[in-house]
Amino acid sequence: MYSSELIKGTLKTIVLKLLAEHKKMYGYEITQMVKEMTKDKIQITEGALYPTLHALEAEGILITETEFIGKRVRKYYSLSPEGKKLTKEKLSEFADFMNTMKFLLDIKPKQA
Amino acid sequence: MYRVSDEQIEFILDDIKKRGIEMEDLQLNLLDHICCILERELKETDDFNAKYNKTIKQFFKSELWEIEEETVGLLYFKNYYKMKRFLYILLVLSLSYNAIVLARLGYEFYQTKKYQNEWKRIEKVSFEEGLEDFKLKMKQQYPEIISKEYTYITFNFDLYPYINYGEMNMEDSLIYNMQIKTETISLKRHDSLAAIYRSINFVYAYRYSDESVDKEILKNEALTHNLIYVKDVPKLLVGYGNFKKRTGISFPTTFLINKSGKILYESSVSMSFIDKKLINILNEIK
Repeated sequence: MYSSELIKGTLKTIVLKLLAEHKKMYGYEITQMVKEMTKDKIQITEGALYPTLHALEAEGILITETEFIGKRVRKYYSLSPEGKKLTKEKLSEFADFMNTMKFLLDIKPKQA
Repeated sequence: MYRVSDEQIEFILDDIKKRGIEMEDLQLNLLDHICCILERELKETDDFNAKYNKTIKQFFKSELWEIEEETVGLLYFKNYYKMKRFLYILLVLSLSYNAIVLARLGYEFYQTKKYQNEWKRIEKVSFEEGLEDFKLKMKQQYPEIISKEYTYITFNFDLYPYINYGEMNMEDSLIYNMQIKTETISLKRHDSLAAIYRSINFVYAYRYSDESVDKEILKNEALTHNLIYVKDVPKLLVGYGNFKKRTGISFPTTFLINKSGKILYESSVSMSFIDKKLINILNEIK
């Protein structure tokens, strides 16, 4: 399992990517999907996920719809048009960042 | 599959609230999330409370409200920085303004000091000397000053025109020998004292050789000592006006006025309503 510092910086991108692929998801579903996809290597904590979801919603990147499950309410998140655009940018940026990191971390030990 | 009952939902929601989560959206999200975990992991035979307590603890490090704190932090993160930048700009503007004001005050203080020094030179004219002596001394000792265009101010009071004030250059004033009553009326008039102050090139305190006034001045040396001659300053820093006791209906009055127009000293023989009129006019220039 990766450290929370690493996950924190990538959480927004992970959420956006998942929502781009699955149209609408709720909080628990997101955590479970990440957990399964990464074979437990990345476990998103609730304490990190919900603040991020709320912030993205407030920024207009995510839109929400609610569904009643018996007496409780389930909140589904999906990408707004602006969110879709941002997701592409974020993924592109992250891919570039990964290449840079790969280059940087591969090269550095050789230089030393 | 375990099904969380309505009572248990109420219990969880209540507990979430008790643990300090106030945002309704967040309460509902957490409620659903906890229910999902419980329904997935709980068996019918398991103890609900024990499982719930274990589950809720995985949501936080110390307290559940940390999630709300983090949420609020993220929600207002952008605004926080906008506000911080705004406050920073405000601070810079405020400091700049203060610096300008201080610089101006400093400059004015410097100018005042400068002219105070100049006054000290001129001040050497003693009260015992008459007007002619004063004229001569000024011309001999300060030809560069006397040759320039100077303006004097004097306040003249009598019952009819409450206040007459005029301006003339120093040479003229000396020639007119300060026959205030007649000269001031024939001289240029202004709507207010402030208007005069704006046009003043040089202001000097002037006195008549009237003995009673001289005595009055000497008696109040602590105040008259503060008289300042001001050169090339477009406003009156300190002015002094008096007039000679005349025959007929007029009253000898001596005033000492500071830069804000406040009367520092006046002789006691003037009529009170005239003083009030003067004070009102002087208030205009504050």
